Amino acid sequence: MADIVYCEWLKLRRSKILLIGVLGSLMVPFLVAANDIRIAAAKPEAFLSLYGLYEDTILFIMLLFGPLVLAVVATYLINREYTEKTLKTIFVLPMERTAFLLGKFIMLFLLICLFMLLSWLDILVIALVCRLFLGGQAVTVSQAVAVLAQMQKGAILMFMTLTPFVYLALRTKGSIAPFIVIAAVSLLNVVLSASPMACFYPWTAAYLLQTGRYAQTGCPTVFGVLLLLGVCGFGICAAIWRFPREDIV
Amino acid sequence: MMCEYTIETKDLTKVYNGSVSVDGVSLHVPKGQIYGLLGRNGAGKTTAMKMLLNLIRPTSGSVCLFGKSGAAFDRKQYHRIGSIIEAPAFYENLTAEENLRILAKLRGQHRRDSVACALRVVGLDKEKNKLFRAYSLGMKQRLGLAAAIMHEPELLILDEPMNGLDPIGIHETRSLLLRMCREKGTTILISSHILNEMEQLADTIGVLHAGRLLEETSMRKLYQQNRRYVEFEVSEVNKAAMILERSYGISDYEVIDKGLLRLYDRLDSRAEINAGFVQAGILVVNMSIQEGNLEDWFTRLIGGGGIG
Repeated sequence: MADIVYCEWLKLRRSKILLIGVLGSLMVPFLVAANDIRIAAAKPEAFLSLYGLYEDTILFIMLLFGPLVLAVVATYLINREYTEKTLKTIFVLPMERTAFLLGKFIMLFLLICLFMLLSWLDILVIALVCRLFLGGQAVTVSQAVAVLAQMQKGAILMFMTLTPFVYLALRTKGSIAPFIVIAAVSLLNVVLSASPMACFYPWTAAYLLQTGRYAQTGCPTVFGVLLLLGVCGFGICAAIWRFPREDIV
Repeated sequence: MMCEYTIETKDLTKVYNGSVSVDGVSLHVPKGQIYGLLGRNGAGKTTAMKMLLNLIRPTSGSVCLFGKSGAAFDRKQYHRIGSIIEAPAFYENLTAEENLRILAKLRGQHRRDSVACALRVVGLDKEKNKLFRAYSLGMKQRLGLAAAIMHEPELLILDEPMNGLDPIGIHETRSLLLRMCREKGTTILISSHILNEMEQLADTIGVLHAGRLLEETSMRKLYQQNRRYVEFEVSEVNKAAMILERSYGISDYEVIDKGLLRLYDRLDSRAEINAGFVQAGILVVNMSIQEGNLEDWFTRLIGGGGIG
C-alpha cells in the first residue's frame, strides 16, 4: 500500500492541481488576515490574534474553500486516470483494483492534511508578523499546537464528507457532474450554516463538529459523528463495490 | 479447466449493450511462439485482448493463462505478462523515465537498471527526460513497448504495436520481438490488421472477423496453401503421383481431390511432366498455374466487404 500511495504522490509531479491546492491553502488565511487588519485599523479595540485568525480561516475552509477545491482535487485524482486512459496500463500490473482505489483515498486524505498544514503555517506566520509589526496578541507554542490539532481534526472531518465525490467521479467518469454537485453542496453550506437544519447537512455538520458547536444546534454530537461516518462509509464502500466490476474500455 | 497452451480461451464472448463484440472465440496460443491475431478494424481483436488481461469481463466463456483458468489465476501472476493495448497510455505530466519508474514500483520490480535497460532497448534513452505529452506517436509506441518488456515477461500481449512507428522502428520492433521469442522463449500474442506484418512475424495465425474466429492455422500450413503451384487435373491421380516421385524425384506435391494434384516444386518442368503423364497413359484434362497469395486468402476468408 505504501508503494501505491508513493506512486500517487509521484503522479502529482508538475500537476497544476497541486499548485491550485497549495495556493488556495495559503490564500484563505491571507484574505482573512487582510480583513482582520482592516477591522483592527478601523476599531483600535479589536486586536489580531492567532485564535481569531484560525476561527475565521476554518470557517471559510470548512464551509466554502474546502468542499470546492478539495472536491475538485478528489475528482482530479480519479478522473485523470480516465481522461489519460492510464487504467489499462495500471490494471495489467499485479495489483488489486481495490488496493489502487484505497491508495487514491489515502492520497486524498494526505493532501487534505497537507493543505490544512499549509494553512496553519500561513496563519502562524501571519500572526507572528502581526505581533511584530501591528501589535497583535502574543503567540505561544501551546496555542500554535492546539490550533494545528484543531485544523487536522478539521482535515479528518472534511475527508469524511468528500469520499462520495470519489464515487461520483468513478460513476460518471467525468468532472462535470462532480463539479455541479459540489457547487450545489457549497451553496447549501452557506445557506444552511446558520440554520437549525445545519446539523443534518453533512458538510455543515463537519464544520460544527470541528468547532465544537454541534451540540448547540440541539442535536447530540454522536448523531453528527454517525452522520459523517455514514457519508464517509457510503463513499468508500460504493466506490470499492463499483470499481472492480467496471470494464476498462 | 486444464490448459496446455500459454493462452487458451473457450467460447469467449463479449456483448456490449446488445451488440456482440466477440462471439465464441476459442484461441490456442502455443508456448514460446508468436501468435498473430489478424482482423480488420473493429473485428474484436482489442476486446478479446482486454478480456485476456481482465480489463473487461467476458459475458461468457473462459480464459486460461499459463495453464490456469480465470478464477484460479492469481492476479499476482500478472508480473509474467507484458502488454500494450491500443495506443500506449501514460501520465502526461511525467517523463518517460518517471512513468516507467511508477510502473516498476507498482509491479514490485527491484532491479534498479530495469527502466534504463528498457529505454535503451527501444531507443528512448536519450529522450527519457522528455514529458510524455511532448512525445510523438512513434515515441509513445516505443515507450509502451518498453513498459511491456521491462520486467522480462513470459507472455507479451501486443495490440497493434507497430502503429505510428517509422519503417526503422517497425524493423527494430520486429527484430526485438523475434529475438525475445527465439532466444528467451517469450510467448507473444500480437494483433494487427496488416497481413504483411503478420507474415513476417507470426508462427500461428488466427483470423478474427466480426467478432468470430474464422480460422486458426500455422503460417507454415498457410504458406503451403498459398504458394505458387501447377494444378493438374488427371484421369489417374495415384499413378500421376507415383510418376512424380519415381521419374522426377518430386515429393513436394499434394493430392487435393479425385483427379486434382498440385505440384509445388519444379514448376518450370511442367511441360515435361505433362508429357510424362501422357506417355504413361494418364489423361491430362487440365493444367494451370495458380498464383496463391495470403491477401487473396484473407479476402476470401472474410468475404471482402466495405472499408474496415
